[in-house]
Amino acid sequence: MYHILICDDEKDIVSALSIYLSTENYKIFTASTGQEALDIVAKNEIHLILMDIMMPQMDGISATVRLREQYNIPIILLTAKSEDSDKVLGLNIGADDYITKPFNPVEVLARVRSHLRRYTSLGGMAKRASHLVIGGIDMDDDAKSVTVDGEPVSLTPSEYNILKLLMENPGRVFSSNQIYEQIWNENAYGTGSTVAVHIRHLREKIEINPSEPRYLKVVWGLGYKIEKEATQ
Amino acid sequence: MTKFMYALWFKIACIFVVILTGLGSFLSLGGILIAGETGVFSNNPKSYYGTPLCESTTYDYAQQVIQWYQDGVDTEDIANTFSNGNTNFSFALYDMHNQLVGQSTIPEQVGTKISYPFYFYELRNEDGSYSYFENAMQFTIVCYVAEPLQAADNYWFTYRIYDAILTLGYGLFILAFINVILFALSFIYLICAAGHRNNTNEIVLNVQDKIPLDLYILLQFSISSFVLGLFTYKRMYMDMGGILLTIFCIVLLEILLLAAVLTFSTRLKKGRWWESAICFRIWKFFFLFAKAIFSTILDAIHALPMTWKAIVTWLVLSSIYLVASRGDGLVLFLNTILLIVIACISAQWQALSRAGTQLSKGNLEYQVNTKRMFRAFRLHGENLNHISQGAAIAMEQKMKSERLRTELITNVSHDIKTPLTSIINYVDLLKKEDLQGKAAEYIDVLDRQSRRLKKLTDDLVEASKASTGNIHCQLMPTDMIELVQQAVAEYEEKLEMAQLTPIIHTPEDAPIYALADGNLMWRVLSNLLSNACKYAQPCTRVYIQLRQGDEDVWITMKNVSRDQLNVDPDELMERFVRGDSSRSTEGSGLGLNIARSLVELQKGTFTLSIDGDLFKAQIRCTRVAPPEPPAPPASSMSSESHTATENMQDTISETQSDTQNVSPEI
Repeated sequence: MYHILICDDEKDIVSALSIYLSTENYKIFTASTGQEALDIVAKNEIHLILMDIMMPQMDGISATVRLREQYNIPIILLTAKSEDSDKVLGLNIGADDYITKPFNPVEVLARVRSHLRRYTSLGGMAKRASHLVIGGIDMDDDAKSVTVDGEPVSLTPSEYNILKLLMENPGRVFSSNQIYEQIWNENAYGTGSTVAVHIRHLREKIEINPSEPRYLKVVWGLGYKIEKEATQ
Repeated sequence: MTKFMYALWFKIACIFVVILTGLGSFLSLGGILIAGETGVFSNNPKSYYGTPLCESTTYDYAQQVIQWYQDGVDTEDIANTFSNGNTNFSFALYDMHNQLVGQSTIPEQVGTKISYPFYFYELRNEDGSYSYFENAMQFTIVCYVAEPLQAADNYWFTYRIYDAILTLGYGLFILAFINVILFALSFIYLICAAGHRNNTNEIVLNVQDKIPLDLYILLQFSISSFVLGLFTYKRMYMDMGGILLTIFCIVLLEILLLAAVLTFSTRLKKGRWWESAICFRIWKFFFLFAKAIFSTILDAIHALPMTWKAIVTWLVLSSIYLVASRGDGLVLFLNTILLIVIACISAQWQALSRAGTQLSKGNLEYQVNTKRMFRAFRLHGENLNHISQGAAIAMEQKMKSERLRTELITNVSHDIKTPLTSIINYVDLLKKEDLQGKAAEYIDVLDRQSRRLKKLTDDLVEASKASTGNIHCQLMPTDMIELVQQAVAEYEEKLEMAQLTPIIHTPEDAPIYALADGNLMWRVLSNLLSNACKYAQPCTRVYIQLRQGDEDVWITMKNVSRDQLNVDPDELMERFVRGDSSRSTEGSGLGLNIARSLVELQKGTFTLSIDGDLFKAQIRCTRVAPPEPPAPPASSMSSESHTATENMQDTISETQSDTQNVSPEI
């Protein structure tokens, strides 16, 4: 039984989220201002916080900064602001993830699950030699298996190889042709969008929301990359 | 008709007609004159012997006799030449004392008898020497013409002419009329047709038209004078040779005249006929030369500051004054005061003019220092300062309102998003309640419409930002082939669902690099592809063509529309306009508007065209050379997480050896 704090000044959103999260057997705490959230975290054991940014008295950004002084609880920001600069700001001050309104409840649930698993079970895992770990993705090259936030995903050989190439070089951008030549070991003449299609399938398997990927990012007009430390 | 209108052969034919009829006119009109003189038209024609034809022939012979006599030929010999059936002419020559000097055989029957007086100032003696006389001596020659004509001499020749004229009679008029009419018609035709050719509407110059005008006139004049001179030197005798020479000269003059008339008409039609003249060219050369010198001097004066201009003018004027007043000191003193005033005025004027130039260049910050200016200038300067302040305020207000508008749309959409989140969430919760019958249908409608509202809100914000340029745009060399392939891969599933086959055409294997922002260009392509998914006819192909020119890169997307497109392409790019007027499909109607704004933000152009059911969108952006080494990533958000690429090759070869033998069992 994990304890989740939902902090939003909009009562309807708080109760809707409560309904969804209750079905997953989480214990819900609610707050309508940043200060309230701080108080609740001080008095209770909280495992994850969903925090709105625009709130009266103390907004989500200041509350997150204050919380990070003492706790390393996963914090997911909820906001109507969808600017890239807002996301960067939110993640830089210590939030773990970012969901824009209006959100899809299923996605919220998936992200909550993912962060809880990593916070509770995967947090302190030691890095083993044959393991490649980036964010929640754990690749065991001996067993040729991949887990995302602890859940196994099934990949085709090509997808596995592409993921491995990108994970071995985090942050580096590979063009489609480079990836093709690496994986298929052939000249990439006239291969069209083969690699791009594989990457999209791969993204659908390892990302919660494939159109807003956390790990496998598209660099438009250049290629693909895996973020070094995704959203952390 | 038009086929031979300006044909060369037709023109040449006309030229011949002109020459022949010209000659014919001359001859027939001459015939009419002689006929009139002869009295052909008065029912009582003179006999041959009374006509000028006979008379002038007689005169020719008489002159011949006198000439020979003067040259000292023996009168017996002269007489012999004319007598004995050689000619019909005989003579008797009398000296100043009316003594018979010599005479030829006089025929029994004489047609006419004419005597001519001749005057001599010198006479050849029998020993070969010459005698000179103070007063002219009158000789008389009496000429007789035999009747009927016996010898085939000049009389006989002119009698043929007389006979012909007599036979023709009034027919001469008809002849003259036909000739003159034909001459006039072909002459007018040639003038009209001069310079025209069948295959072009332009006026074409031939060889003679290209001769400089003045040179041509000189040439024409000298040739004509030569011909006329030839004509008068070889005086016309009334014999075969004389007539032929006359005809020859007339034809020659006709040709010259015709050529001159034709070239002048061609030149006039061509226009600017004076430009070909050598005189004009010489004049133009000197004119341009003088103009260049003059404008150089003017430029030099303009380049001088206002004060210097005033001083130079003063110097010139006052030196004239000094000369005029013979060195009067007072004039010089007053003039110097005048100079100071003028210098002040011009300096102030220059300051104002500088301010005007700065303002017109858009430098609204510029202020004139109006201190120490004359009142009139100070007022003007202050006005200029106020203009710049006013314009700066207006500009600031405009920018502010632009900013406010974007802010308003962003804020409103934020405010819409929060309640929308609740709606979407509760609709979703309702769906999970086990509702029966119509309630479930209604929930579906709510679900669909709330999602559409969400999309609309997002698009509205994006359209507003794109059109005001409020989007971060980082232009850098971007591999367009890679981008298009990535975009198509993203839409693979949706295209499949819409039963569309994407076909990408790239002209060569070499990469196509354009100056663009990858993220924005992806959104453009995404909008276009999503449009295709929504509006293209199923089971057709979507063509994406990449092309590059010297400076531009074009991406063209073509698809066949499912519904009839009754909209203007420009209208399609307006906000909230959609291909289907019923608006039954999903979509905000902002996609193409956003696409256009985003492309324009990247300094490109976005054009739509509709050809029947074929929908074509074209993106043009600036071509750049491929980056060397590979460009840093486009996303500003993640730029800090990128490492340099220098070790790329090593890493790749390592990973290559690793990945070759991998056969994962997953």
